[in-house]
Amino acid sequence: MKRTGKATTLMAVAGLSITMLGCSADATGDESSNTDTLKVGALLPLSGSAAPYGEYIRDGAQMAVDKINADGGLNDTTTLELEVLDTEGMPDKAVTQMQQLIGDDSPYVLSTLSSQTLALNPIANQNETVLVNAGAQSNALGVDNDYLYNQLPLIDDEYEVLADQLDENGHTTAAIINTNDDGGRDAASSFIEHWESADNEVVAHEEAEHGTTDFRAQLQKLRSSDADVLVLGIFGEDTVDAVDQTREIGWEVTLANTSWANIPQVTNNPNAEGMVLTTLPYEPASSFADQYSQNHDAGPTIFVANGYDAVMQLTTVAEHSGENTLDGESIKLQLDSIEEFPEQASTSYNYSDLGVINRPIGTMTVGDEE
Amino acid sequence: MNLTLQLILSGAAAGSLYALFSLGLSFVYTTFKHFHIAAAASMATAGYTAYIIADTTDLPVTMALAIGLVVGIVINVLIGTQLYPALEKRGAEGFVIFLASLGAMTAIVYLFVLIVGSSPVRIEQPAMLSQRLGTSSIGITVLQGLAIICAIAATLILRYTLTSTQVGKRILAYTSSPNFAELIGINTNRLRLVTYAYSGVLFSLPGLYVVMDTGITSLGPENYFVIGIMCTFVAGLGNWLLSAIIGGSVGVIQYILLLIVPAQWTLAIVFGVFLLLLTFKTEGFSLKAFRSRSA
Repeated sequence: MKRTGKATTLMAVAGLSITMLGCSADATGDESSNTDTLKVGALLPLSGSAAPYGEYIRDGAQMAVDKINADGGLNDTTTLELEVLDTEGMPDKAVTQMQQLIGDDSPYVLSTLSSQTLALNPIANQNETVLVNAGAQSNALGVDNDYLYNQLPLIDDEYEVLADQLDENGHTTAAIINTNDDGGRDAASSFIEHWESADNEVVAHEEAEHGTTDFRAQLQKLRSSDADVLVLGIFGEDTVDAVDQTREIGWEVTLANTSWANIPQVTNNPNAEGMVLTTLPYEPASSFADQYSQNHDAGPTIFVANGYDAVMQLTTVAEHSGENTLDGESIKLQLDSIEEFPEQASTSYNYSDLGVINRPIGTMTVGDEE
Repeated sequence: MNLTLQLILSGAAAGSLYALFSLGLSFVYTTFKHFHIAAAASMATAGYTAYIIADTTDLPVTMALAIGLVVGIVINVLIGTQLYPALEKRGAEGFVIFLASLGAMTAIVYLFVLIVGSSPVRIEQPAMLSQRLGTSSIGITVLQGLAIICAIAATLILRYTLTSTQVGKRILAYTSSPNFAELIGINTNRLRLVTYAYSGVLFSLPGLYVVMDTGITSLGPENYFVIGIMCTFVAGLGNWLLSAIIGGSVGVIQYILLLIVPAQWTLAIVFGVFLLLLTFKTEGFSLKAFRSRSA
C-alpha cells in the first residue's frame, strides 16, 4: 500500500514537472515570437499582368523592413520579418495565403488589387488583422473596412478629376471599355457619373474579360460610336494591349485612363501619345529616393513609396502605443488615432474616417513635355 | 455597314485559328478514333518554344518561329506515335487514352508555365506582319490575312492529300477498316507519322499566331481545344471538312453577335447554340454528301 502511494506521488510530481516544463517552454516561445519579432505579411501579385505593382510594393516594404531592423527594431525591441507571397492577382489564392499568414500570427498584411483586397477584407475584419492596401482603388474599399487602410485615393476621386480635365479639353462624347473585375466596373461607373453630370455623353460602353489581352472585338464596336475620347478602365500592363490594338484597328481617338496606366510601359509607348492620365503627384524624400536608386535603374514609383510607408508607419504606431507587443487591434487603435504620420518616403499623411489616405490628384498628357 | 464588314473580317481571322484546330482534331479522330486532347500541348509547345528561342538567343524572329513550328510538330508526333500505341499495345482504349492525352497536355503546358511563368508571353511580330491591309475603316493586319490563307490552304491540302495521293488513300482505307488495312499490308506506323505530323502543323500554327498577337498563356491552348472539340462534335465525329467550316464560322458568328450583345456574352451564346444543336441532333451534322465527296 505504502509502495503504491510512493509511486503515485512520484508520478504526480513527474507529471507536474513535465507540465510546468511544457508551460515554461510555451511561454518562452510565445515571448520570443511576440516581443522580438513581428511578422509582416505581403500578399502581392508577383506574376501576371499586375506583377510590376507587386514588385514595386515588395521592394518598398523590404527597404523599410531593412531600415527598421538596422535601426534596432520597433521601439528598439521588436524586429520585423517580411513574408511575401505571390497571389498571381488571384483572389482565391490570396484568401488561402491570408489564412496561412493569420495562422502564422501575422497581425499586419500588405495587399494590392481591388478584387484581391476586397476578398481579404472580411477575413481581416474577422481576425482583427490590419490590412494595408498599397495599390488598389475600388470604391468598395472605402466601406465596411474596420481593419483596412488604403494608401491611394479611391478610383471615384480620380475619375472626377479625369472627367473634369477631358471636359476642359473640349471633349463631349466618350466611349468606355473596362475589365469586368471590381476595379474595372468601378472605373466605368465613376466615370459615367462624373462625365454625365457635366452634361457630356457616354455614347458606347463595353466590358472585357479580366486578364484578357485581346480587346479588338470590343474596340471595333466602340469605334463605330464615333466618340471623341476613349476611356480605358483597364489596369496596368493590360492597358498597353488596349492602346496598341486601338491604333492597330486604325482608330486615332484620344485615349484616357487614370494613374492605373501611369507606368513606363504605357507612357513610353508611342501609340499612347496624347493619352490623358490622372496622376498622384508625390515628391520622394531624397534619402528614400537615393537609397532606392542605389539598387535600381529608375527612381521609386509611388507604389514603392506606398510599400515603404506601409511598413514605416509601424514605427509611429509602436512609438505612440509604447508597447513592445503589437497585435492587430492595438495597431488599428493607433492608425485610427494618429493625426499625422511623419514624412518617410514622401510627405506626411493621414487617413480619413473611411480609412483612405488624403492625397492630391493631378493630370498629365503622354508625350507632353510640360 | 462598315462595322458589320469589319466584324466579319476580324471574325474570319479569329475563326481561321479555330478552323485549323478543329480540322486537326477531326482528322485525328477520323483516322484513329480518339480525342487528341494533347493537341493543346502541341500548340503550347510551338508558341512557348518560339518565345523562349526569341527571348534567349540572337536568332531572328522568323527562325524562332520556324523552330517553334518544328518542335510543336515533333511533340505531336511523339505523343501520337509513341504514347498512344504503347497504351494500345497494353489493351488501353477509349477513356484510358483520353486520360493519358489529358495528362500529357497538362504536363507539357505546365512545364512551360514553370519555365516562363503564368503571365502572357509574346514575341514582337515583324513589322511587315503588323501592317494593316484595307481602308482606314475596314481592314485586317497581314498576320490576320495570313491566318485566313493558312486555314483555307490547310483544308485544301488535306482534301487533296486524302483524295489524290497514295498515302491519303491508305489513310482512308485505314479509317474505314483498320484490321483490313493491316491485313493488306498498309504500314500503320507510317500512317500515324503522317497524320500526327500534319495535324501537328495544324495545331502549331495557332500557337505561333497567338504568341505574336496577344501572347500565349497556359489557358489559351486549352480554350482552343474546347472550341475545336465542340466544332468536331457539331460537325459529326469524323467529318473533318465540316468541322473546319464550323470552326471558321464560330469566329465570324462570335464577332457578328457583337452587334446585338456585349462581347463577353458572344462565346457563351455560341456554346449555348452548340449544346442545343447537340441536344436535338446528337450525332451532329454528319452530312453524308460531304463525306462521300471528300472520300
